[in-house]
Amino acid sequence: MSAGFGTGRVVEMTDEEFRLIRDLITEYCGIFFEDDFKYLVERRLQPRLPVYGFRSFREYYRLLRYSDVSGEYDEIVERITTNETYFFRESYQLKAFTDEILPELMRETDIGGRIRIWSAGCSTGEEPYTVSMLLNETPASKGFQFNIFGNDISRKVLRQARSGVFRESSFRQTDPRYIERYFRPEGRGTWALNDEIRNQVTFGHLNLMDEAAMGLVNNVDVIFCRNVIIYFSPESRSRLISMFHRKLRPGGYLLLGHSESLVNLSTDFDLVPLKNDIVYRKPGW
Amino acid sequence: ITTAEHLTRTLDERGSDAQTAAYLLDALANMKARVPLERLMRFWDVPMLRRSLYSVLGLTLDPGAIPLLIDGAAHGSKRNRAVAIIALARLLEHTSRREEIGERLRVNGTARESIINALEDESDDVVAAAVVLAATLNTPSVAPKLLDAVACRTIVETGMETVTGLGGEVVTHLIGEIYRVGIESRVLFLEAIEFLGDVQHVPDLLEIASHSETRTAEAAVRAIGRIGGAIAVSGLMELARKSSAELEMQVAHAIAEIGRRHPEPTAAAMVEAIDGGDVRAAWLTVLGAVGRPSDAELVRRSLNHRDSPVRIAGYDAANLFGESFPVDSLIFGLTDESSTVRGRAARALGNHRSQAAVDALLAAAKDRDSQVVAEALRSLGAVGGPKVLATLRAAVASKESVVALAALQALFRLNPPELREWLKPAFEHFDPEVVREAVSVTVRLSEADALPFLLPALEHRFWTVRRASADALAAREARVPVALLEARLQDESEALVVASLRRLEASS
Repeated sequence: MSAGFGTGRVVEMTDEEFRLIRDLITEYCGIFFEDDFKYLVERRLQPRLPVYGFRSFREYYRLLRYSDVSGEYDEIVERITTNETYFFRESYQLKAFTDEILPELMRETDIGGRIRIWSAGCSTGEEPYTVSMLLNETPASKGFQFNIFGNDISRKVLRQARSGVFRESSFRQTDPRYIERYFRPEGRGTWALNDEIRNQVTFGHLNLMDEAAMGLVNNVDVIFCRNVIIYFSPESRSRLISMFHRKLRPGGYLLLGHSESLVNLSTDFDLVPLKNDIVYRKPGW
Repeated sequence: ITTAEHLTRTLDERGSDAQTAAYLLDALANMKARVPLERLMRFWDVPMLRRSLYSVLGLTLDPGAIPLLIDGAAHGSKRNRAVAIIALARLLEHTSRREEIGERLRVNGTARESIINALEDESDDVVAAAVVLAATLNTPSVAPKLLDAVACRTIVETGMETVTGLGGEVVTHLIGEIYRVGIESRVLFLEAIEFLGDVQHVPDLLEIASHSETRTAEAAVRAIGRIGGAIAVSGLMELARKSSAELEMQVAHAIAEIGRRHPEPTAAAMVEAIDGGDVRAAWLTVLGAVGRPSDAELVRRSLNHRDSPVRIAGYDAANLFGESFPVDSLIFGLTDESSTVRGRAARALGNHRSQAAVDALLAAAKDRDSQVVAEALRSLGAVGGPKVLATLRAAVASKESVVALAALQALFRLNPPELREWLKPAFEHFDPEVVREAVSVTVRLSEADALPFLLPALEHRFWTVRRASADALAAREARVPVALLEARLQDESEALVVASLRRLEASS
């Protein structure tokens, strides 16, 4: 028995098992867990053992290593990824987007032209839907075609994102007027996003570490990748940032979370001090 | 005198210079020195020394420091308050003054508010300290805030231990707040409820499981399995019927857990469903876990079901029935078109020692699917007998890692006299996981036979093998040449291997 807080932890994950399983996860999707997260990984993966009749995480590790179990990696990802997000998160950065980045993009794009916005690691969809609402609130944007694309590695969060139904926890930073304008109560403490906003966003199941799948995304004007790279190993971060660099059009913007930066990761981007935030931009043509 | 004592004396002598005192206090804090409270009090009125002083006060373990640190938690800059909070938490950890601290916080609204605000600090250390201090208030309603604060942080275990320490009264509050927090926190809430809840909370949990996204639903189902009584079974069955296959599986395990506590009504509910035409893998999983002999025939019939998930669950259940299960039904499973079914049938056959079972397993050991072969080999290790050894010996050298691993596990159980010879190909295997398994098997060998395998393995290219070898040598308290051990310790960069080498150093 593990010396955990309760009786729920039937099988203990040894330090070695944690290391081995963690490394497989990192190899698969880039997500990296510090040693302090062993408890969390152990707890979240515990329910997978009885599914296979396993009595130890060693057996589970061997299943991952030796069997054709891409579906099992999906299960792991569902359990261990952090899907913590909400509408209008990091509002100062969104203000930089609407007040400074967006006008610049519209100036550089012909009327009727296409502007591509990618929410990389969009979780349950609050971020791309926030962008969709903000665009709807910007009259000048009407003359352009916006493609808002959100991706995540977890099928379950994408299912929820597509449903457009959210709970109270998603609205912790939302101005009530947005709730009134864009949502309708669905009962049981849930609100449904209106179809106009929902239909502006396309979702896709993509592993950011899957180079082949990433071939589908190109020539992007703005990438939102906020509070995602913090969960990646240093090596995976470098790969990811260099992939973002390839996917952005020259002059395109990369918006990271407030605690994230490209220090020690990449020198390919210009640091642009805007009035509301400091952002990264791929050098222009 | 110790360095700490020397620094403390210097503090006494030269502490009137505030800058010098700050350096000395910081040094004492860094070395976790325990300085008597009375020698620190002279600095209390020097505002610029407050932050340095708080850290040292927390190390005094003197109850007299409690009011000072509570004052520090209430006033001053955010950084100073954070340091005072961490120091107070450290003092709490090492003294039995929990009630006193709680009482003082109850009457000091400013300090209390400051600690609650610290739950949103960016630093995990500050949040962890705030969590344990907030828990001294013994207010169950604060539990949701505490768990929400630790979600997605490295201190999640601290938060769980603290909240579970508050007792069962927190459950109502956790359920009440569950939809006001994000998914990570919701799952944590339910994990706490799994430990603290009781049968009266099952209806709420069923409601949560029925109307939540999958992760929350699964956590709610697990909690019901842990705390539910027989009365919860019908609700769970209803949930299973309208769930995805994955959630249905989790529901099955929850019902099975209830079934181990309440076998008769639980198994009866499964039988009633199956007899009514509702044949599901979940119900068979439960019947296997409960293991009533009277249900064996029902399980046997399920092995012919048209859906492979049902057959898989049937063979898993048959495995749990053990030797009493009809062996012929299991042997037929080895011809199933699904390799998973064949593997599970081979696993269940490991309970049977009849000649027919052994022959069937020897045939399964030549299956086209390596996972089925591995299951068959493990079962051969369980049933034993002279006919199986040649098969196992050949399998040890297999290039298929799963096969080699299973053969080693089987040989470990059977422990044949030729084991030392048969292990050689395993130690030369390209896959470190196979070598590591071979290291585990050496426990069956004498020291003289094992050392020629284990000592070279200390220098294996892969860290798990080096670690396993060091652990195996330490476990048998083998005498390892000092020079070799020193060289290994010097060259080793993997922390886990170093720890094992240290244990080996101590044991040998």
